[in-house]
Amino acid sequence: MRFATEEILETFKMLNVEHLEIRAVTLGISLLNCIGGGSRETAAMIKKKINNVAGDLVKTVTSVSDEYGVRITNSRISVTPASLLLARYPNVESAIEIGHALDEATQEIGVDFVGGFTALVERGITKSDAALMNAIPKVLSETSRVCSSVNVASTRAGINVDAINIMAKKIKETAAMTKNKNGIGCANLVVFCNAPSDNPFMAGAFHGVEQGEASITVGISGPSAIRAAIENCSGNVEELGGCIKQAAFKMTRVGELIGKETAKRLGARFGTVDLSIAPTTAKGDSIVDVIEAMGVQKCGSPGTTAAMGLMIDNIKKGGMMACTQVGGLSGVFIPVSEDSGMNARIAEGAINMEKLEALTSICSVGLDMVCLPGDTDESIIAGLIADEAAIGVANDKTTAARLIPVPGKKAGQTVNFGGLYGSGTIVDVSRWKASKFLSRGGQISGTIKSAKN
Amino acid sequence: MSRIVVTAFGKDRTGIVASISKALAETEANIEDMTSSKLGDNFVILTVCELSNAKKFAAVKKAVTLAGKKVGVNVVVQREEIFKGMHRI
Repeated sequence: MRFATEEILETFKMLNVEHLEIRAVTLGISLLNCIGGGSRETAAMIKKKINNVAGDLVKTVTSVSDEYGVRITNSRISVTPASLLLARYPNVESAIEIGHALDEATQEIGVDFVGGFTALVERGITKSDAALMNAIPKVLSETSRVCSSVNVASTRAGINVDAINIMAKKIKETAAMTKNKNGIGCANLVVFCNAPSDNPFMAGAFHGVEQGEASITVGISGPSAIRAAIENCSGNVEELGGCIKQAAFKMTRVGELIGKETAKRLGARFGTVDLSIAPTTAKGDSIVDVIEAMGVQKCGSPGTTAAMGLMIDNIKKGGMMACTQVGGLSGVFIPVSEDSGMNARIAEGAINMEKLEALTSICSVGLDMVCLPGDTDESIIAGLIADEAAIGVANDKTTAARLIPVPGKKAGQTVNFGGLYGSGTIVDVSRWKASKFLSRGGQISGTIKSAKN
Repeated sequence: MSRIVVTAFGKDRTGIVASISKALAETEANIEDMTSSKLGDNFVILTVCELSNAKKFAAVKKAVTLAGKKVGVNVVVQREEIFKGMHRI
């Protein structure tokens, strides 16, 4: 036999019993050559280009999935940060027109999300960045596919406090403008520190200007495959790490194979594999199950950060050996509403806001899909973003805030967004503010790590 | 050349190997290696085949899946590369 029976059966088990899947195949597209004399012309060229480059994305991903027997949950597109497309007409109306063009083009090719309604403002805000940021609430309330992200901090630049204050306001406005859907617009809005330009996952994906004309990035998944590896290991923490590493190696190999094949068929460059372990609302697909399988009584109890750190480190080590190009966020997602286990632990008090913040110092992103009381003050939201940015800058890692102040809801109540967004318990948040500190504005400079050249 | 791995599994009964082999032969998928075993109440067949033409994948998959259905077994057809990727460095 070319393959041992055990090898074939193990692959079968990982793919069919343990739900190893590719969470996202994302086609990044440069829209820089779509900049026309006016926003209407630009919008038309954007729609044409997306259709030309990504028209066959869904069909291609479906056939690759079918031939390799690997489930691919989502096909998505990401584009050049849209604020760059607005440089010649930096006004809110033009930004809204571009937002709608992205939404319509994405609908036409049968894709559910497009990432890249984005501005990178960690050092300063251009007129077109400001126009885009001001257009975010309206665009997210009038479209369903557009995902927006704003990078407000980086290890080199430090933290743009003015941008944080603006984004806290925009989050509140977005929640208010989508209040009939529980503030769902905020689920498509990420405020970043050290945003990666090759991230396949929504809502924070965008296609960096250095990423070439078109590239495929792949996000792997499979908390239950990692959990199965852990459950089969009764050894000490070193052996536990080894089991996770082996599973991560195999999972990443699948991701690379699928990514390279999809890129080849679409005539795009193969970009990177994002090693993030991404949970879903499906039973058994929670990051909580993985942590608790390691021996932590309740995810959130003391020891959780160490257990998660061990898991993330070994996923990266196994994945790095398996794949030539690793990128994106690469770690473990801990979204609240999108992970029914996380939400359950929040509801019973095993995890609170402070523990979530602690976990963001090692996880792949940050405060992700965290539902806040609807009357949470703008300055408290700004404080949460600033804290995430500080963790990212100090640790030289990506952090982010995807916060939803749910209109009319109080701490402890629940909200059901439906579908991929799941349902969330409203997390209690401090009522004390840092408004005097943050309203000083300006730029917190990069740490000494920024002077590493 | 293009290789596929056909995994068939289900409750043991007479004619499973014959049915799967016939479908593979009829779609010109040449069996290079085949192993079968009982796992508890289930019968598992693992087959590595070479396709005469890589474009024939869909036709082979359709025929062998249908053949499996007739004898009450589930069939998974995958390109060989997925196994190489996961198990070979």
